[in-house]
Amino acid sequence: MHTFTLEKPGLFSSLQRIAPPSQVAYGIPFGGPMDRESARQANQLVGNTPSEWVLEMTLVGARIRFEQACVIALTGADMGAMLDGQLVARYQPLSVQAHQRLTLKGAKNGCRAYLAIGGTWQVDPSWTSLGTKALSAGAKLSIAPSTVHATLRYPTPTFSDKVSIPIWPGPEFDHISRAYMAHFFSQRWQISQNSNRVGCRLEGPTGPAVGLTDIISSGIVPGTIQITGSGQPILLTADAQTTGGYPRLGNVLAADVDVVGQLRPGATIRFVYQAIPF
Amino acid sequence: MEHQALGIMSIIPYGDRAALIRFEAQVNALTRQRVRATQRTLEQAGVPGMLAYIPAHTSLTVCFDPTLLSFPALVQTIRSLPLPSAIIEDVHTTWHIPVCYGGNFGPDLETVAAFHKMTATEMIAIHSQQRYEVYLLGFMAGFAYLGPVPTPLPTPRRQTPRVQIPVGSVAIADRQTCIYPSESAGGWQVIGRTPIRLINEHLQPPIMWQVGDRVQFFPIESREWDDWHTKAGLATDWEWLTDN
Repeated sequence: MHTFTLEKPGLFSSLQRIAPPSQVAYGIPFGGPMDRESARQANQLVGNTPSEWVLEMTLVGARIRFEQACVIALTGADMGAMLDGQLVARYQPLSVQAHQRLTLKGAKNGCRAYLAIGGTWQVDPSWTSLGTKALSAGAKLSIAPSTVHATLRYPTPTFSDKVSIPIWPGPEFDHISRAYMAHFFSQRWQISQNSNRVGCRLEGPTGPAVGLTDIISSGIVPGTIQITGSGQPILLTADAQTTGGYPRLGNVLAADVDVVGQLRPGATIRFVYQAIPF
Repeated sequence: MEHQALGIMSIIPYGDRAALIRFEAQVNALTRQRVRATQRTLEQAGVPGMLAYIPAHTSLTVCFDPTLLSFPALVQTIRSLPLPSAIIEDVHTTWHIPVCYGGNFGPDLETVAAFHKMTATEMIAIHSQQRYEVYLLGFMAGFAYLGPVPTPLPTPRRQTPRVQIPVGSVAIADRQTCIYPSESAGGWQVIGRTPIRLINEHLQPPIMWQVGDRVQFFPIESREWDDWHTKAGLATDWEWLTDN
């Protein structure tokens, strides 16, 4: 068994994995990595199944001490990762020696970084069965190591701070005023500081009346854009409540929810209407 | 109508990995029964690609894997669902939950009773004699909206929400009642507390109840609190709280 210690947790770090959201009927959020594509790639780089656990770090990364040698990979945001003081690359496998320290700092590009370690993580299912749990300083994590013959590399992406995202009309699309709709699609919305895994609060100028204040509570899926009474949109993501009472204007599609997962406070989004193809 | 017997009015795409099944917009027991029956029938049908369900008052969100199941195929499947016997049986669990009302456990009990022009004793009787239905799970893990509370008027929320409501607090607002499964901020009126833990990360599922279950509260004295609390802490499941 290999162990490693989260000496410094960073701003917000948690264990995540891609799994079917079977618990949502109980009011437990969908969860999972905010940028699933990066999480999948991190796992593939170390020869893990795409749905193996990864460490997700937000805006400011962690410092990890590895007790044993292993193979790791970093994807997602560029946090200036260093192994014992030496800069290391993302999107390729890295050999780590026993007792080395991996230190990640503030994200220069993107919002969330992913660390995969070659092997099977020993995580008690109870750790996340009620939803995301933040890791604290000193947390010890274990892995049953695997032999990794890692030769894969992916091109290193750049995450834009200014994006355009297509959306499908949501369930209450037809009940929202046309004036508000015009306002919504013409704005470049800014990600507020008050954004996290639950969702991104979007800031922009006050627009016309929404026309619909609330709905009979109904299900929420990641990517749903709710419009609150004040006219400010909330783009809900992995840890959102599973039901809500605000009108649902539209839905970001699954692949683009990954893009949202890499948007930092201050980044901007413009939404583009896309007709549902059915 | 997409399915007469189940009362399904429409099925629409909801993003590219979910669909929203809408029932008649009547918030009542029949609609909730139809939502549950549809969920159960779909679960039993074992359709490849179906991942999860979110039942609500007048809708059912279904999550699916679009690489295994297309939206049009899902609609066809729903249209051809057989009418389940479950809609007639309405199988559910009934939970019996001990509550210590008033005092430090229920700081808003007196205010709420006064609002309804009752004594605290009468308020406790009204709250504990009703058999509630779990309408919806949401807000936080294990949080259930239970109803209806049979007061003549809807109970207003607190003017100032509390920053910290203790775990297990039993509260009411409008015509619903709830138990806070974890410490939380909230604006509902806290009338009592239960020593029962509603969530347990070591159990599967980790939540005691589900939509459609019935709940009956029963008053306990503050001197009984410790015994109940110990019993709840030692329990390895929730069976002991059911009718069985």
